[in-house]
Amino acid sequence: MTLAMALRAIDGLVLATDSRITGKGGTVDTSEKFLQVNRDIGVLTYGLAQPGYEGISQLVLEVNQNQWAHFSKIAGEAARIFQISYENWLTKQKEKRFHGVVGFILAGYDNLETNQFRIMHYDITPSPEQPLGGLSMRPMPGDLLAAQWHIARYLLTKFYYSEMTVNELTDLAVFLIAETMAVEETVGGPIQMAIVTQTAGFQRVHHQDIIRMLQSRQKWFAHFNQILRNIVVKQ
Amino acid sequence: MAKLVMALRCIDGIVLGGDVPFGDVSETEGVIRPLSEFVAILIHDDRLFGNRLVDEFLASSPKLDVPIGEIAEQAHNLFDSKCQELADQHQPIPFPVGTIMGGIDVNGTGDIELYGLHIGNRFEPRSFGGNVFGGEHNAVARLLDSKIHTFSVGVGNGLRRAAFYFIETRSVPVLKLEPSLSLATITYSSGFQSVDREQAKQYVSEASCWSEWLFAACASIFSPLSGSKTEERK
Repeated sequence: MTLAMALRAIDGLVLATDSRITGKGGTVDTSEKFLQVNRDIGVLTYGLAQPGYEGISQLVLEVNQNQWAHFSKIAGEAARIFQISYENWLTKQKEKRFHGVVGFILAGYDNLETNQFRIMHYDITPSPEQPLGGLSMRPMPGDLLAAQWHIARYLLTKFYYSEMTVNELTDLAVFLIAETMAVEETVGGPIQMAIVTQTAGFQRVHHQDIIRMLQSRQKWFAHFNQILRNIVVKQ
Repeated sequence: MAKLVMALRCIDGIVLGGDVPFGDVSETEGVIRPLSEFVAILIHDDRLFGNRLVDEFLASSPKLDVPIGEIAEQAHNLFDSKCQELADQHQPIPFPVGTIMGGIDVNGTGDIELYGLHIGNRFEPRSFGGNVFGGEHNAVARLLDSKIHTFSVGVGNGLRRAAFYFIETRSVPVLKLEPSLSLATITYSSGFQSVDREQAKQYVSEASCWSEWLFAACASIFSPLSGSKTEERK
């Protein structure tokens, strides 16, 4: 699994994931779960690593080849591409059983139609009725947290407020992922993050900047722990 | 569905807890089932199917005056065979369902022993050295427990912590736990004791106060960034 998120700030979006793959042989922290689609849009994947990566790579390839620009066009084509990628991957599997979930988040600024920040969620879950996995596609009016989302959602209820700026929200996203990593062994490795703003479009946050954020915000981590320890004292 | 169950180790015993529907729930429909004076089993996720398995286990007259690990092994054999029977009859097997078996190992090590048995690995007993959490929505409780639990507290404080984990998990609207908390303790001195509903409500009510305090205190963490948030909450 993983932790994937698309959070809404007052002036843009923050997209983030971890980079861990968990399999029968253990864990690897080098997974690329995150790609830039065009100037204003990014795509993330979670769940099954291989069909996930194939899906987002194919989307980027086709968007560039076909010069699709409208968010709605890209969102519609993405559903088709993700489903085909999953089915192609499935046909190569020797083991005939229900495989896990694979999901995608497409998010960015729609500067041609709605002039809004938009988040789309795609989810392919195999079931006895649909062994090939039925793809569901939903626009998300609020934030989206996917896969190992429980801890991040809990912390968001404590710390998030709608006036947060992109800069503030990147700090919070790092905090959410770091706290989740401390508890969930399937979430880990370097944090991958990007922001999308109206003026600058999609911008990847460099690894060194994320490290700096983690270092400079250690006092928050300590403060949160201290607050919880104070509850113990109150008991 | 029981989406959060927990077994917390304390200095004088263990605390068992889990979410249950509002109102009277009979023992055989709940999440905490005593097996003997010092051993109990917690049921998580599909509560009704889990209780069916436990009923069948008790009806099979298992040997309970043995170390807990051996009781867990007997439960494993029976649970797995019951699921296999369903599969052989082409009946759907409820998923997920799991149990946590634990207590004071009076016939073995003399210490607290906890085992998880989950349908995902055919109820193969897995021993745990720390606290154990089960159910689909147990992540928040694990986060909080990793920060505040110490094994040096008594079961009195353990009960309060269980209520706090429950109320904090319930504070997330999308984590739909059952509305009530069922609690029990197993201590060296008194063995298994169920906490009555009124007392459990009292623990939850106390925990709600800490929850509010925590919410207010958390606002201060991001205060350098969040003037408006602090204002809003005032």
